[in-house]
Amino acid sequence: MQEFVFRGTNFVNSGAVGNHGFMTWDQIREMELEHAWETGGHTLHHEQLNQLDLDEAEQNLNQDFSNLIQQGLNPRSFALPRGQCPSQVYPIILNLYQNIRGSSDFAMHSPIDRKALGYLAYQSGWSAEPVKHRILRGIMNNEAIIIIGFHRFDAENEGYQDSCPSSVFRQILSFLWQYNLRVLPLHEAVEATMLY
Amino acid sequence: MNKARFLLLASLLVSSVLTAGSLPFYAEWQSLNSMYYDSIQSGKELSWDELYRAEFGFKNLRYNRMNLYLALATEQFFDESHIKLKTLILDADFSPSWILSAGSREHGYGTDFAMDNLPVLMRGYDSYNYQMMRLNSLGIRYNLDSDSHIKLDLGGNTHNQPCGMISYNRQSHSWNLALSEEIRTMDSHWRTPVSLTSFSGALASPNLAFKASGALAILPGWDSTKAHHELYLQAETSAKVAENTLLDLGAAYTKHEYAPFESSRYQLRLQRPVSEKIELIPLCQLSTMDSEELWQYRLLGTIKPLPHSQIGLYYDYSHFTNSKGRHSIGMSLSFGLDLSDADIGM
Repeated sequence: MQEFVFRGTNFVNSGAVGNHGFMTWDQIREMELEHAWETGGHTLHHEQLNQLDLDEAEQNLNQDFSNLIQQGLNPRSFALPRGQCPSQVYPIILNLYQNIRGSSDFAMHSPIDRKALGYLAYQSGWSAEPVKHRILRGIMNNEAIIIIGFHRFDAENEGYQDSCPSSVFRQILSFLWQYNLRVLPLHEAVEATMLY
Repeated sequence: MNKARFLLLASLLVSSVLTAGSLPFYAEWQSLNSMYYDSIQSGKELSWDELYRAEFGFKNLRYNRMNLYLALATEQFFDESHIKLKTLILDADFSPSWILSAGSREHGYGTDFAMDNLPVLMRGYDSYNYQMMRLNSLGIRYNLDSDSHIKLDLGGNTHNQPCGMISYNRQSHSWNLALSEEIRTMDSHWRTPVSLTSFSGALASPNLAFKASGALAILPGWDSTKAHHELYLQAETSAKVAENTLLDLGAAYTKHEYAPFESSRYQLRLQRPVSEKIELIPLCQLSTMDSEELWQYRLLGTIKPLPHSQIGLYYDYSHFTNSKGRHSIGMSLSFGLDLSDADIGM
């Protein structure tokens, strides 16, 4: 993405940072502080918020947010693990973050609801075409923002359902470059939709 | 929603309802709920799109020499305060020929085309297809005769988009024409000055209706923006081809200096009632964006149980060239109450 001058958002499980296969704090800090990426909250260990009681959820969210702050990061967006969130937990998240991303893909027209953002998650086995067509339909449909999510790269042989080969990722980036589309961290993209 | 805003909204609604019998009050509710299965996105769940919109206000409320048009709207947000002033225009008649107006409204080029609204909200919440902006302005209008006028608007918005616009409008019972020249200090995309020359017009006869709109944007070289021009054109026609059957053709074209560089849409549709309140509208649409082509085939059925109200149900199949397609079903609602037709004076 750096090659294409694109930036994005890392949604990290702060309790798992540095574990095998996960990014380290040094890498996360470098991406935000040196390359202007955004770091977003995603709970400590990808706990589903509808499986925690209210106190557990609040404690988890506060600790996760605190972990990011202690690293000198500025988290403004939160991604719901598996898109699940009981209604009474939303105020807790909104007390910490400005944007909440779920896990359903839907059209977002301006004015967008920043506490109920959708996204398309790349699935193992896809070519670049489903993502390209989703973006083209979004442009033709006057959508204000399109969020595409990638969970892993080059791990499809390990049985993951959401791993993207680097070659396909490059095709998607080339397509975005060809169309001169703005690729921004989530917080900046949401702010940009509110300019007009 | 905080208490103050809730009370303001509640008082507006209550006072509107209480006085609706004597004021040109109107209210609209529109929604579009759709679900799709995209056969190219294997492993992905069904997607569900929802769009909601509500608007209410007063049309042409006259008091002595003053005239008020007020529209408040909310789009998508119903569990928090998000009422926006869509339009507020105050006109003052100084003489039969001169009218001064002030207020705030959405402004742009290309609006109210049927091809964009089948079913309602299909293309989101944007009222205009090109160069939409918020225009807060002071205007002065001179009536050349009973059918035509010229108007000068000066204004802008908080996004550093001051503009000046001069327009000419002429209308008769069966046609209308509007021409305008606008200068903005900032284009909505390029953030550099732009000149916008536009036309719009419509023609209606018992068997044929035609509507067209266009704008030519000329951007001079400025900072990193190279001198260039952009073009927006849209037209649609509706012809009565048999008893109770309309054949409609629509086309829209936009050329930018940024991607998508060229985009166009062509729509062919039939409108045929199958009973007094039920109409069927099959349509075919080709959308192009540079080298990409999207074909859409839609069957829309509409039921009109009451005046200003419509329920729409549709099935839509669409696909890019040489690609698997998307199946969509949806339901749209458009309910309205409009007491403004009588143009009630006070």
